[in-house]
Amino acid sequence: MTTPTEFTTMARIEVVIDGEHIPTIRSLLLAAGAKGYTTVHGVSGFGHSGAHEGRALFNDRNSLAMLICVAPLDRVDAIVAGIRQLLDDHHGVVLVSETKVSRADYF
Amino acid sequence: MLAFLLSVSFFAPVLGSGAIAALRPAGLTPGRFMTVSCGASSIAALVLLGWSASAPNDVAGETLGFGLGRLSAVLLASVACLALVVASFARRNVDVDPRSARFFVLFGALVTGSLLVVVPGNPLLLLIGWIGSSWALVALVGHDTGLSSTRRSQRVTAQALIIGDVALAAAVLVAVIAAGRDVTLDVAGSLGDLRSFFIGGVSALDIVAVLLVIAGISKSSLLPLHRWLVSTLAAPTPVSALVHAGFVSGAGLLMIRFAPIVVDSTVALHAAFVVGVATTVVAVGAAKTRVDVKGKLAWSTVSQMGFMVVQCAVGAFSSAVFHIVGHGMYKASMFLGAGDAVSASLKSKRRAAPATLPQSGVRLAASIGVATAALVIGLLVVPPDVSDGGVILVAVFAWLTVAHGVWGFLLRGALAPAASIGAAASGGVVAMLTYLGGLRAMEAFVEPALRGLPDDAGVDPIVLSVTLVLVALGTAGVAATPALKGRLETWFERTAHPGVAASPHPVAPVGNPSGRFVDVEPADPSELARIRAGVARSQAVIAPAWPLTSVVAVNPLGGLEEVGFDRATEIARRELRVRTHLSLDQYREDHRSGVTSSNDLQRSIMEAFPLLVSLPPIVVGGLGVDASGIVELDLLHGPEADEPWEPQTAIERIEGVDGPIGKMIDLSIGHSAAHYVSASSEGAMSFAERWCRDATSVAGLRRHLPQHSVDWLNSLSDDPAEVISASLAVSGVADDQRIAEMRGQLVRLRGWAGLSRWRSEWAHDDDDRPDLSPIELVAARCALEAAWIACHRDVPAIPASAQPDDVGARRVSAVLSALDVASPDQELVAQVRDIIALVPADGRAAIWLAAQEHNVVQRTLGLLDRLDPGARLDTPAAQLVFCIDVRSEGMRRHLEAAGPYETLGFAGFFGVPMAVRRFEWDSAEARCPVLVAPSVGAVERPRADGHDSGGHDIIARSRRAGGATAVHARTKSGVGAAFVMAEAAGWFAGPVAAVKTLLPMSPRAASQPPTMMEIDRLVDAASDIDQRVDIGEAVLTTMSLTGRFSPLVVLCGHASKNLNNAHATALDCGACAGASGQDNARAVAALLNEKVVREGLRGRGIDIPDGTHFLPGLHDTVSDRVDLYDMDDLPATHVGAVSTLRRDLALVAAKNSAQRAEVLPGRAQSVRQRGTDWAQVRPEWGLAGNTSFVIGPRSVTAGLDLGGRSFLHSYDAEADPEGKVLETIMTAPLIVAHWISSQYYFSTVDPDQLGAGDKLIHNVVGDFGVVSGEHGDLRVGLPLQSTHVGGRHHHQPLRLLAVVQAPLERIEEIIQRNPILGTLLGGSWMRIAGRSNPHERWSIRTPSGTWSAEPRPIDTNPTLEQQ
Repeated sequence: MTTPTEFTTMARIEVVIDGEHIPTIRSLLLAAGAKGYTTVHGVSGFGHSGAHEGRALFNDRNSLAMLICVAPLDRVDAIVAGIRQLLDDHHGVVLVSETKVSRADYF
Repeated sequence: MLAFLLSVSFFAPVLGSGAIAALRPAGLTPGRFMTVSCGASSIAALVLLGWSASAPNDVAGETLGFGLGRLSAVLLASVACLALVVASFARRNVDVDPRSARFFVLFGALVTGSLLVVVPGNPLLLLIGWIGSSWALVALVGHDTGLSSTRRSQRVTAQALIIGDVALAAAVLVAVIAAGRDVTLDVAGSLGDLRSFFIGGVSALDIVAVLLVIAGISKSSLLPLHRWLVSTLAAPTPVSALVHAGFVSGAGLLMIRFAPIVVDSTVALHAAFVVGVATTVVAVGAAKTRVDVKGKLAWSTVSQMGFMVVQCAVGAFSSAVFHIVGHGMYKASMFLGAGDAVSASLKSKRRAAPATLPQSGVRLAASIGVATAALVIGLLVVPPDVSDGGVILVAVFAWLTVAHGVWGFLLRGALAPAASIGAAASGGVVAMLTYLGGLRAMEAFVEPALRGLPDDAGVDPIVLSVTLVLVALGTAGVAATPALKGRLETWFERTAHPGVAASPHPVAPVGNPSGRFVDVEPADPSELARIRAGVARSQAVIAPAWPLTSVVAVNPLGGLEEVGFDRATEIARRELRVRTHLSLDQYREDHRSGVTSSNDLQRSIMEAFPLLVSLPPIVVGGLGVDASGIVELDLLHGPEADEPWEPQTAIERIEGVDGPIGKMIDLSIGHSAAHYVSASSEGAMSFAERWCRDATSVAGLRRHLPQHSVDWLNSLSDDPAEVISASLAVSGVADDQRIAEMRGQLVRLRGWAGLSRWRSEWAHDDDDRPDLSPIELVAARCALEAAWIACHRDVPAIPASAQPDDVGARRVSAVLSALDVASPDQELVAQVRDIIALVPADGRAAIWLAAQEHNVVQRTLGLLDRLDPGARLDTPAAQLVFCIDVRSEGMRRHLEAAGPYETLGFAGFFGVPMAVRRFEWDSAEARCPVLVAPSVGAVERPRADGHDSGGHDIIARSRRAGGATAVHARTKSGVGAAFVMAEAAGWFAGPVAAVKTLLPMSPRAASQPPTMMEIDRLVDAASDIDQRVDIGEAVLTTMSLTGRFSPLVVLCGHASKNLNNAHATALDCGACAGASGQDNARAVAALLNEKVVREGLRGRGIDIPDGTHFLPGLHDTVSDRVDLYDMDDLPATHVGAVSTLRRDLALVAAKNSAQRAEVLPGRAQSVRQRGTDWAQVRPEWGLAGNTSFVIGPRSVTAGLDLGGRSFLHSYDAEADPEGKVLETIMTAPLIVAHWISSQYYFSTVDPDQLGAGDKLIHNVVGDFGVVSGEHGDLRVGLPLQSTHVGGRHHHQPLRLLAVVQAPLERIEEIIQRNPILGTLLGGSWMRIAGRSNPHERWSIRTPSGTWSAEPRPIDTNPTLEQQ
């Protein structure tokens, strides 16, 4: 069994944005030093810009998607600097929180 | 008789020109008139050829001062016949162009000029022909006045050709003075006079011979006057065909015609030999560096001309004649077919993988062995009868050609290794014998004309042999020395791309500018991240551009969707430098033709400016005129507003938008991008090598960059973000200007930036093109701007924006004039001015657009505003499901009228996003809208029931076709192989081109593939059945066909079958990502015929009777032919019904074509042949005219003539209580239709910037795009021929109107749930109307989300035909 002391603190960055911007966000993440990400297509919800339906049957691009990325704390500023700028033009949310990972070399 | 025939042959074309210019012949278009003229010319030439062939001693006669023998008759007939073919081709290419009369007048002059040069005659006519054809060509190069490089191309062409004109005039003058008579008829007899006449100690013979060679160098685009030929690519394609077919052979024609003089002058002869060899070597190298189809062909012609001159210089004149005619026919057919490059690439990629290849050693031995054996056999059987030098040329180059051909064939693996070698051997021998036989025949035919020449005429064979050995050794040495090869390639590249001859304003470099480069601080990671995000934000102004292999319609301003149509178009006008509406004059012309009424105008004025109603009327001449009336007068009579363009990039702020340095930078990036995307050999290059190497050499920018700028460029990082950061610092761009700056950089490279967006966001990971990205383009352009600006920053910057034109006063005057007020008092002027001031000058087009849309909304809804027209058929004989595409509407209407048929509309991928792999393909291709990824695979298999060999036949056929293509490709590009290949292949290609042009075939029935298309099966049987039933249920539910099945249900995809069209995929199915819908129809029909699927569907409430059969079909939207597939699966019980259906489909095709013919230019009866006519630039109108998207049961539209302007999607609101089906339709097919509508809209309002411009001057680059003329930015959007005709827009640019029969609350809920719909409808990108049932009036949704019933129209035009 793993004990909490073996975990490494890292930053968890979550971006919720229109699916069509996902390729851009991915390339920004990778260029800023992220080593991976997870994408969840077709998320739904309600927020500042109203309701958002989940996945449409024949349209993967215009539904909301969530992108989750974990990165060392020293890379967060660079990653977030780019994404925040992109959100000046589009609906979306970016959340940054602390998280712990067991295999730090993966990130 | 001879005189008559010769006169007709020479002068019919130019007389045709005169008649076109003077008479404007009634009934015959300029193209038709010119075709008839060239037809008369070629018939006369062919009769003369027959006459000369039957004359016993070659002299058919002398007449009109011309001596006509076999040699001149061959050349005359060849040029005249090619001119006829090209004229006939140009007729269908150019005839509806507004400048067609000018084109054909010049065309006739060019043809007659070219003909006068080939027959010995009096010197005056020779000069007239020579010079006249030069200037006709220069004028034709200027055909496209919209192209910015046109004037430069004309200048380059004129400068080179005038040298030849002067040289020939001087040669004729010297000859006449020296010989005291006309030399041109009796060249041999004049030799003595010329030899004995000296000018300044030099014999007149040498002077004349050298002048003739100079004239030839100029006309044949030889070194050092080689640049003009590639410049003529700015002319329409048929002009290039004519130039390369005859005009450019001037050097050969002069050397043959004046052979006794030329061979008697050692100086001229050796000068010609040296120029010929040098040109050949340089042009072969240069051609390899071009990635555009026409550029490659042009450089290939330059090398062929060099070879032709070498043939003449070594005394092989009959070989040169064979070459001139053969190469002329070959190159003409290559140019005419240049639009085929994209589909050829697609075909090549889709060919079956090779069979087992012979080992490389075996291939090499076979190639050498077969070529050697073929040559020995050939020389023994049909030895050439030319000079020794000629024999050496023939032997060496024929051997090389056969060797390369065999190598190419074996490399493709068309057959098993042993069979391949056997086929290659027999093919090689036959090819060699055919070539040498043809050569021998030509030698025998023209021998009398060359009889007087000395046996040892021409350059010494030893000199030729040594030269050939040196060239071979040099080639091998370069190939073995990578460093030398690299340098030479760069040099060839620079030579092949002469760049822009710009003359920027003289600017003195600033003192010690290198410090500006040094002072730049390295960027931190956050800064780099902001730059990357900045580029991502900037690229919103560029729409992704799909490659031409799979065109997808997009909204060019899609990135600005969130700000709404009005704001997006304002940004586009001011910052992107594009037009977003028709001009006021165009709207007024539409108004005069009834597109809008005064009511429409008044309504749109009051909607846009509701406050006008509160203003008191103005009293004019005792009558009151409302404020809205004043605005209407302004709309009808006011002057256009100038759109002030705001400079965006640093360099634009310094030298203006059209500054030469900026253009040079654009050209160099475009050049690098073309090579980067096309070439697979670029390998690992640094950023600077890839993007700045060419800039500093090819585009001529180097002259304006000091060494420390070049050093700085070479030191740039490979990270584009770092390059941008450093470059913006050097250029002095402030932080708050960055986005605008980067946006400006992308806008200047709109086409390349669009392709790069597609590549980085939409392309499959396994796409074989390099990963071009927008950030790289921005970085490269920023860097080059910085490199120049750092050295020239002291140049005073021009004002940021020009002062807007004071158009207000002119608008007031126009209104007063329209009110017929001669001398208005100040008060009236002030009143009008106050009203006018309320309406911005550039806002008037938006009012016009709204008025046009009001009109269409009223007419459309008026048409659809009726109760259910009657009970639907209880037992239709067949149900046919067509794609929603607007082109299906006419077919459906006619079909329903033809018999007991019911039709439905559904997305053409039939609801199953699939990755299809046909039997012979190596990989799968997506067949679904790009909005969705393929969710299942489908494969084509041979049928098991007795058709086992079918699949193998497909593979074998594909491989054989691949083998033939490989031989052609290899002999085109192999070292030294192209010369004999072109001159030999031309004799076959020419007649084929003539038949294709003069006698286009009728469309034929598609062959039945001996295969079946099947959706992939899952390994687990139960899951497989579940998945298949799921698919079946989704398909039938979404198309609202869940009951009342007919015995026959046809799923009918569509494709546009046409030839020689780089934009062919833009006419295919939008729902299938620019591909045919055939595969989806086959796979889905097969699935719905499966017993287990039907059982599963029954369990879900969809009961398909056992007697129902699903049949796939394909509608060819050019010929309107519908082919039915998989007939092997048809139960015997259905044969009769299908037979009746086929008969009715044939009738429907004829009716629909006849209706389409009414709006297509050209002869109505040839509408169905357009797809098999390779000269046709407008095979069909595609989706032009699209205005609305109707979602509802067919009863809403049945029986109505919607003029092929409506997308029709079947939908039954009662069967969809939760609105899920409607939501799917509104979030996918409707979005795709909006993209299509927007693509047509913007390509129509700005065909030069947002459309791809004129097809006539398109030049295919790689297989992904076109440029206009020689080079420049990629052209994206629809070509002019898809939206315009005769200088006027055919497509009426309107925003899409969606019409939905469903409860309004349900529609509104769906809009609210899906932000994309909210954005498009709230931002006025499209409109939506709805009604719950036929008893209600249609209501329109305002952008703010309220619904209001549309007033019933006062008068309704009962059809929606294009006006």
